Amino acid sequence: MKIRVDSDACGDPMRCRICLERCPSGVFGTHPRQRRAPGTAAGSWIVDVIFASQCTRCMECVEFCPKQAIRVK
Amino acid sequence: MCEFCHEHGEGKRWYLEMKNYSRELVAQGGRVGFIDDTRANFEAKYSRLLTGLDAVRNIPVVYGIIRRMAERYQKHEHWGQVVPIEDIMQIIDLQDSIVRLPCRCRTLTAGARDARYCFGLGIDTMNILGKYPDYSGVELIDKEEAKQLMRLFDQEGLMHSIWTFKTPYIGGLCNCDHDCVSYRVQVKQNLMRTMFRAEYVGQVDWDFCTGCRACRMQCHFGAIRFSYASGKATIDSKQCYGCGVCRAACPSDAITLKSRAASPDLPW
Repeated sequence: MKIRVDSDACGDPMRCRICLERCPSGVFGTHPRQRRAPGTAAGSWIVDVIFASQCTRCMECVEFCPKQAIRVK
Repeated sequence: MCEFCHEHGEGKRWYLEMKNYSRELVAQGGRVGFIDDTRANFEAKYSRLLTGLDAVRNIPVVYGIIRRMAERYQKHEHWGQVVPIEDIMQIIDLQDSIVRLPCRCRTLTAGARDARYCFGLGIDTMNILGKYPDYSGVELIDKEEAKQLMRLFDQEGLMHSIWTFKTPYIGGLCNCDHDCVSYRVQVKQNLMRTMFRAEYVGQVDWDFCTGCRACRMQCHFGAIRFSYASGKATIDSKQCYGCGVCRAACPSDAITLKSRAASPDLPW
């Protein structure tokens, strides 16, 4: 089973946060696309699959993502 | 007493030892650079570490080895302990300066950039932390305000924890809910350990318990069971983390915290 987040389709996860909030198993997390030097701003953030093992295939993420950016196979 | 009490506290509560908050300690061992790098890259660092560990979760032997390595690493770099509100008050009294900050766990797990549940401890924290243009700011607060906030969080049922930055230097104090990375990874998923339970464990006095079950709703750890047969609540001491927030929910003052060390079979 693979969970894929299309970051380009997603856009700005920090405004949306639906998958982060909705997933009953807490599979997703968010972090800046790149590490940053101390004291600098983060640049763009992406949603990432962190705890794939916890996925129960409920498909809430797929259903609720407004950009259809998530695929669960 | 927990392992850190023996190693860093001479057998007493290690988080009440001044030396574990000192300027001398933070100046050694690359701590300032580490704190700065953690401040800059917390979400990136921990999502990478946890994704990697989760990926081998179901591979026997490999998971055990990597988990132990990760826990050993965490114990040295960034380890936590649950602390009830009374000891938090004492910790605050030991501080020279306190800053209030957004909790980075909440950023990682919930995309929340301004969940201001965290407190940076120690001398010159403003300088160590620097200024981050994309966070709403590091706010210097006085001890009385910090204590008031902590009491408020305790009433709301948030669990308090302290965090090392290269053990035994204690640089942070947080108020955790279920978005806390440590909660999710240790308590909910048992993926790896990241913190010790408190030096205490809760107990319900049946002479005062009225069976209202408010404590059970407040407990983060599923440690309180209610029996319809007895009409009373009981705290399961093996599950209990000793955070003490159940006491805030109890209308009858039926819950007290006892010493964890007094029962040698209880886990840390």
